[in-house]
Amino acid sequence: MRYLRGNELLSIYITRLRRFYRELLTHYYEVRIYGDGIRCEFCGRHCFVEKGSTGSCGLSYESIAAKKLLMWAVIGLSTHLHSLNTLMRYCGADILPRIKTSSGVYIIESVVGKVPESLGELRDLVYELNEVCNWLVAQLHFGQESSVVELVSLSLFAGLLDLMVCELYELINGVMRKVKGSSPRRELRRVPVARYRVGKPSILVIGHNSPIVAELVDLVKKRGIDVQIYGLCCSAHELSHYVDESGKFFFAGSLAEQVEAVASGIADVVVIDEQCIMPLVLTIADELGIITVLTSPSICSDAPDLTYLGSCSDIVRKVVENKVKRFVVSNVRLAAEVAIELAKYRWLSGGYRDSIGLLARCSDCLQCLKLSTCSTEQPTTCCDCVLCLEACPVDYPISRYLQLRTCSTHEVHYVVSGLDQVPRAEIHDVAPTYVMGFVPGIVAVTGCPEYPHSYSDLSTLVQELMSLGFTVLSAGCTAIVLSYFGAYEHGALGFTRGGLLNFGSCFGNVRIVESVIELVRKWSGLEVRGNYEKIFSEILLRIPIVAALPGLLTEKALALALGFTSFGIPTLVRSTAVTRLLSIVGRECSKYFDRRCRAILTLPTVPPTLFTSVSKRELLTTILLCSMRHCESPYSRRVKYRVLHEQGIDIAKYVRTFYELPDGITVEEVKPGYVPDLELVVSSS
Amino acid sequence: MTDEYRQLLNLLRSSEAAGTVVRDIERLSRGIDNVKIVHVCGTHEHTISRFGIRLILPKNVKLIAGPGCPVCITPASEIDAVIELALSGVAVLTFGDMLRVPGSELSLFQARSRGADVRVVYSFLDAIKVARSEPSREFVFFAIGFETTAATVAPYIALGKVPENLSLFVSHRLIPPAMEFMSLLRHGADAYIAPGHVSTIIGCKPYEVFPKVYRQSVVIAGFEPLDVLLAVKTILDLTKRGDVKLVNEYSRAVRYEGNVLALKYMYRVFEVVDGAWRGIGVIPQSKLCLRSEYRRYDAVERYGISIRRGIDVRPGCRCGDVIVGRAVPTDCPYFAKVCTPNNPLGPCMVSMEGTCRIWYQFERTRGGEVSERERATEYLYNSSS
Repeated sequence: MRYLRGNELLSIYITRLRRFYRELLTHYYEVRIYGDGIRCEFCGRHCFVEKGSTGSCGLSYESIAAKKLLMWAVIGLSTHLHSLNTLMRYCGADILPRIKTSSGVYIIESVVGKVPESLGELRDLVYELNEVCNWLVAQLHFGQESSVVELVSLSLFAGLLDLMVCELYELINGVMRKVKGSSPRRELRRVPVARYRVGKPSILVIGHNSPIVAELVDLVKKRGIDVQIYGLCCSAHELSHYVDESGKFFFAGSLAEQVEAVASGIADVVVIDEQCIMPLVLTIADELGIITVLTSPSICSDAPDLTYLGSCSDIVRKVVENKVKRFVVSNVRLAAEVAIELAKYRWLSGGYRDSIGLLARCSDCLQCLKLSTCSTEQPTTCCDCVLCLEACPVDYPISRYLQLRTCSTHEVHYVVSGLDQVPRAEIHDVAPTYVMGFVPGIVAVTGCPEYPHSYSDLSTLVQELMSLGFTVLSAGCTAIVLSYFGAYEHGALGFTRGGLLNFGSCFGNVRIVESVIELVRKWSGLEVRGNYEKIFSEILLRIPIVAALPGLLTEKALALALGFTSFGIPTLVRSTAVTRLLSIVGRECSKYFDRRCRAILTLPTVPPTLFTSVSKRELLTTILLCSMRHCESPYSRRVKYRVLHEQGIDIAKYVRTFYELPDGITVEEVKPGYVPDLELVVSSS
Repeated sequence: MTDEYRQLLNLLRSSEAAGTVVRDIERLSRGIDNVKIVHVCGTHEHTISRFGIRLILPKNVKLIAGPGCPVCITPASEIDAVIELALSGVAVLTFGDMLRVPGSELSLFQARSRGADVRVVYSFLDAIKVARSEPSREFVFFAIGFETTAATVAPYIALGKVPENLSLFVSHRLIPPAMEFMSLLRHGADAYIAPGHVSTIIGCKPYEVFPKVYRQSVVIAGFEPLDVLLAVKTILDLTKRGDVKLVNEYSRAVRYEGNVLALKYMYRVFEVVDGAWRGIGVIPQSKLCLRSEYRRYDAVERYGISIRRGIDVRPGCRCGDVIVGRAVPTDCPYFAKVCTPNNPLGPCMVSMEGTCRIWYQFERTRGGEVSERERATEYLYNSSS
C-alpha cells in the first residue's frame, strides 16, 4: 500500500464521496433551530458580550472582531494558496524548470532572506506556505489564541504570507504566459471592453483562471477557430496578455457585473473556475439555457463530473444528448476544447435565440438581480414592446438587455493592461521626484468594485488624485472599472507624476508593493535581504503611499489589504462587518519630534493602519492625511494642505514651517499668533 | 602670481592658523553626536583628499562627498546623443574631462577614434573662435557644468555673439536642487559645505531653504585647506550651540545677492526644467535649457536629436551611491582594480573632480586609517609653505 500523493484525496471526494454524501443527505430533513439568545460564533455558548463584558468563554468583543478578521485573512490566503498549488500542478515539469528566481522577488527576499534558487527550493517554499496556512487555520479553533493584539498580529502575518503567495503566483504565471504565447515584451496593451454579443460563438470566462484562459487562447490562435472569448474579473486581465489584432478577445466587466454579463446573453458557454463567483450566475445561466463548464469542483452544486469520459467528443455528445446544463471538467485543456465545441454547437443550433425567448417570458426568476450603479448609467430606451416590464414584479429592465443583445455594435472602452513588473530602471529614474515631493504620493486603488458610492465617483476621485500629481496604481476589478471612464486613455501611463498603471489581476497587487520596495532601495540605499522590519519602517516613515480598497467585498481583498498593511502601507477599506469592527487598529495618531520646527507634531498615520471610509470626500481627505510622512518635503505638503484646507480640515496641527503653506493661505489664517522662529542669519567670518 | 595673491595664499596656508583651527575642531567635537557634513563640489573633495583633512578630523565628524562633479552627473543618455551626433558628421566641441566619460556603449574619445570630429576646448569663447575659423563646418558645443559654467555661456548667447554654424547641446545642472534631494534621503546630511565658485554666481539666497526648512546649516567655503577647516569648525560650533544657520565663510568672493549680472544673463537665456542626473535619476527643476527665443541655438532642435534611455551605471559599479554620498569609492568592488583613470568603468573615475579619481590619486593608499593621522597632520602643516 502506498501513501496518497498530490491531490488524490480530493479526487477521491470528487469521484466517490461527493455522490455518496449527496445521496446520504437526501434522507435528512432540513431543520431550523430557533435561537434562544445570542450565542458566540466561536464557542456556541450564551454570550453577553454586547453588554460590554466578556463572553461566557472569556472572549471580549474586540477579540471576536479580531478573530473574524483573522478568519477572513486566512480564507483569503488559503484561496490564493490554492490557486498557486493548482497553477504549479498545471505547469508541471514543462514550465516550472524554466523559472528564474534570481531577482525581482522582493517580498520573499525581504522576509525569508534569500530567493529560492532552484525548483526544489521553490517547491519547499510552497510546502512551507501550505504548512503555515494550516497552522493559521488551526488558530481559529475554540480555545486557541484570544488576545486581540496576538490575533491582529496573526492577521497581519496572514496578509504578509498572502503577498508572498501572490509573488510566487505572478512569477510562475509570467513564465507560463510566455510559454503559452503572450508577448514577451513588457508593454501596455489596449483591450476593448465589450459587454454585449457581437454575433459569433462566444465563451465567457469568469474567475481567476489563468490556465484555462491560456488554453482557450492557445486553441483559438493555433487552430484559427472563429470564437470570441470574453474575460470577466481576473480572467479579463489574464486575457489581456494575449490580445492581438484578431479582435477575438474582450473584457466583459468586473466582478460586480458578472450577473448582468451572463443575463445579457453575451455568451453561449460560460467557463467558471473558482473564487469570486456569485452563485446567482449559475441560476441565471441555467434559466437562459447557457451551458456552464466548471473547471473546479469548488462551486459545482450538483453538477456531474464528466472528466472521466476523457475525450472532447464524448463529453460534448453526453452534454447535448442529455441536455446537461452544467458539468465539471477538471482537466483544463479538455475543458477548453469542450467549451469551444459547445459554443459552436449552441451558436449553430440557435440556442442563443431560445435564451432570448426564455428571458422575455421571465416573470420572477430574475428578481434577485441587483443592478450595479454602473448599469443604471447605460441607455434605457427600447423600441420593443414593454410586456416584459409589465410582467416583471421587480421592474427589472429586461427589454434593455434584449435590445442591447441584438445590437450589431458593441460598447467599447479601452483598458491598459499586460504590465508585469515596473522596470527597475524606470523607478530609479523617477525616484528623486518622489523623494523631493514633486510627486506628492502614490495611491494604490485596487480591490473589488462594491463601492459604497458610484463608479463615477471613484473615477472622479482617481482623476482628482492624478491631477494633484499622485501616481495611481491599480489592479483587480477596480482597474477594469477605471477603464469605463477613459482613465487610461487620458492619463500618463507610467510610474510618474500623474501616472496611472494597471498591474492586472488581484495577484498583481503584489507588484504595487514591489514597486514601493524598489523605491525604498533607491531612497534609502537599503538592500533587500531578510530585513522586512527595516523595509516596513522605511515605507511607513518615508514613502508617501496609501492603499485604498473602497469596494472591498471578498476575503481575498481583505487579505490583500492586510498584506499592504503588513508592509507599512496605510490602507483604507470599505466599511464592512469585519473592517468596521476592526477600525480600532488605526484609531490613534502618531506623535513625533520634528527637528524642522523643534516641536512635537502629529501625524495621522500609525503602524499598522486599517481605516474605513464611506464617502468620496472622506476617502480623499483620508488618502491625503495618510500619505503624509515625517520626512516629506514642503512641495508635497503644499499640495495636500491646499486640498485639505478646501475640504475644511484643520491643517494647523500638521504644519511644520510656513514654507509649506500653499499660495493664498496665510500663516495667521492657519495658526493665529504664530511667529516663525527660524530667522535666517547670514554672517561672515 | 602677484605678490598680493601670494601673500593671501601664504596666509591661507599658514600652519599656525591651520593648527589653531584643528585644535578648535577637536575641542568643539567633544560631547556631540556624529556630525555628517556633505560637500557638493569636486574641488572641495580634491582639497580634502589632497591635504588629508579627513584624517585629522575627529572620529565623530564625517566629511562626505556629494554630487559635485559636473562630468560625473551628466547622464549617459545625453552623452549617447552627442556621440550619435558626432558620428553623423557634426563636429563636437567640449571640455577635456568629458572625452573619457563612458556613455552607454562608447565615450567621446572612442567615438573620435572611430572617425568622429571631437575637439577639446577650454571655454565657450574658445568654441566660438573655432566655429568662426571654420564657417563652412557645423559645430555643436556640449555645454556641461553647474551655474559657474552656465554663467560663462549665457552672455554670448544673449548678446548674439554665437555664430550661426555653432549650436549648443545644453547639459547644465543646478546645485541647490541636488542638495535638497540629499537632504531628504535616509541618513541625509547634518550640514553642508556649499561650493564657493557656484555661490559666487548664485549668492546665498538659494541656500536659505536649508536652515529654514530642513534645519541644516550651510557654510559657503573656499577651496584652500584652511577654508574647508574653517567651514568644519563653523558647523561644529553651530551644532554645539544647537543652532542652524547659513554662513558665508567665503566672503572674499561671494556676495549675498551673487553675481547679479551673470544671473540676469543666465536666466534670460536659460529656463529651469527637470533634469536627469547620472546615478540619481530625474531631479525636478535642476537643469537649464534654452528659452524658446534662443532655441535656434539648441542642437537638439536643429538636428532633431532623440534622447533615449542610457545605461548610467553598470551592474556592480557603485558610482550612483558614491555620487549621493552613500558609499565611498573604496566600497566599490571595481575601484582601483578594473576601474582606473586609464580605463574608467564609471563616470566618477574620469574627471579630476570625480570622487573616485580623487580617491584613486590620494586616498587609495591611506584607506582612512587613524594610524596615519599624525602623518597627515604633518603633511598638512608642511605643505603650508
